[in-house]
Amino acid sequence: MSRKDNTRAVAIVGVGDTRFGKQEGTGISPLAVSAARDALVDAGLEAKALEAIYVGNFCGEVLTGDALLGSLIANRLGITGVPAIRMEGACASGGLSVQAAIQAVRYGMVDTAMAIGVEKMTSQTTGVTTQALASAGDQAREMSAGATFPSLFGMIARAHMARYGTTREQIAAVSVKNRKYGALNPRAHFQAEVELNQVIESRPIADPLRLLDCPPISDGAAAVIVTTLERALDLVSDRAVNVAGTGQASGPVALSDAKDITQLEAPRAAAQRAYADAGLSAGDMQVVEVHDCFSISEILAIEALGIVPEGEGGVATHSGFTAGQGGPLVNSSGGLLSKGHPIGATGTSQVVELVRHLRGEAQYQAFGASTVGLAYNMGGAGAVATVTILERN
Amino acid sequence: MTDNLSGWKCTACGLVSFADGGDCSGCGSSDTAPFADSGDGELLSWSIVRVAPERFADMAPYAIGLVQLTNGERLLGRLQSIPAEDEGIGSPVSFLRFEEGGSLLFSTS
Repeated sequence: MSRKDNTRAVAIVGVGDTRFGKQEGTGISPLAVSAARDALVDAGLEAKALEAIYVGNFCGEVLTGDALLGSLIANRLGITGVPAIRMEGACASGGLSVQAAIQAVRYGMVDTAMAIGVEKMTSQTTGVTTQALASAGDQAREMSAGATFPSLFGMIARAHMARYGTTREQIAAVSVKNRKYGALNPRAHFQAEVELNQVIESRPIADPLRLLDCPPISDGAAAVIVTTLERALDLVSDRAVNVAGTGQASGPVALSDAKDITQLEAPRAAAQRAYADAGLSAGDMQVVEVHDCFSISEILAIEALGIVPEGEGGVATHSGFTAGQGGPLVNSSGGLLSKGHPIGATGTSQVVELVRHLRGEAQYQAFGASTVGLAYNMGGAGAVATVTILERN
Repeated sequence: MTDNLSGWKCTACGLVSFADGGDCSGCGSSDTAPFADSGDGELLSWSIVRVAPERFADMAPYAIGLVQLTNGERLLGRLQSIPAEDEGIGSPVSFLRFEEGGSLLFSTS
């Protein structure tokens, strides 16, 4: 089975993950192996069926001491001799690993590949972790002044508010929605709902952003197995989920190099490429997992993906449009804000959750059936973006 | 108007750098031209860092800002004081001095 461009049709045949949260006493490779084994069971495959492994991880060497994670995790899975590669794209490391696995199968390098995303974050102090995360910025020009990612997105939020009239309440509505969905997700770090005034009155972190505008620091892993559509149908029949299209782009690492800090270019470019690859448009998306690394990020995301016009992300969120009232369901998994944000695992986990939603697994049945959706993962402040569109058979 | 802020602008990649020596600190090109500016501009946006990386922890809370110089160049630096909520975006800022590590400090009034 091939696509219009004569490349091979690819499908996701198995997904797995760990719960996100503080996993005391569990190291980085057991987390990754646990997610990988779940995915193998889900696909009905043995580890020896994997012909290539792509491990998304941002800063294992700083947070755990382990850097050579491609081979290390392959070793722990009992596999040797196959390509096993660590992929780094800051918070988009997981999205890169999924797309690398997809391309390896699509272009005929291998028949079956696994993407794993993993990060072990809670064994360090918040100061060390904050500094490690800041390594995704431009050190010489921006982070050396004491900028942090919450403060970069705080500046974006303030600019969005000034330019479009976006309100503090509209931004907080992202957290309220995602915490509500996260309460339904048994693997989420936070499983409690919050109210609008709790978000607005929570501890300030990087004005105007507050604690409940930020994701938790989590440990976690997620894994996705991709194979040819033909083989996927043999293995799991109608549980196979097609890869309709992918898009990827890079952008400025320094926020001061962004042409417009309220409309980042790489996410928009990645989305346009993915829509073109899939022959679909924003209006076709029924379920959307987006990179809500802060509440304001989801507002930027739905604008960049073309789900709402520029500047209307705040109003749309507050009105319920992104809770399926007129628009797609956005972050029905709980998103990063509720599910957690173990950096390297995040992009892989978005695809895992999207597959479960499209399959109509238990947690997602209340939302009704959906057949098409996308996962959008971002690294830095618009420095890396991946968009992956999936469609149920 | 005096040129308070001087450095190099790379002809190859466009990066403005304030390091010693004329080579571009971004791409290594020696095709750079002197950069001199009054250091005056306007604040495009700002935030207050309350949870700081370890090496800045003693300074928190502090304000950072994205500054557009009058000549069009955009730079990110620390602000000498935390702006009031009703000033901020669009207000005039001036380069004050280089801080340890070469980062920029701007005054907000």
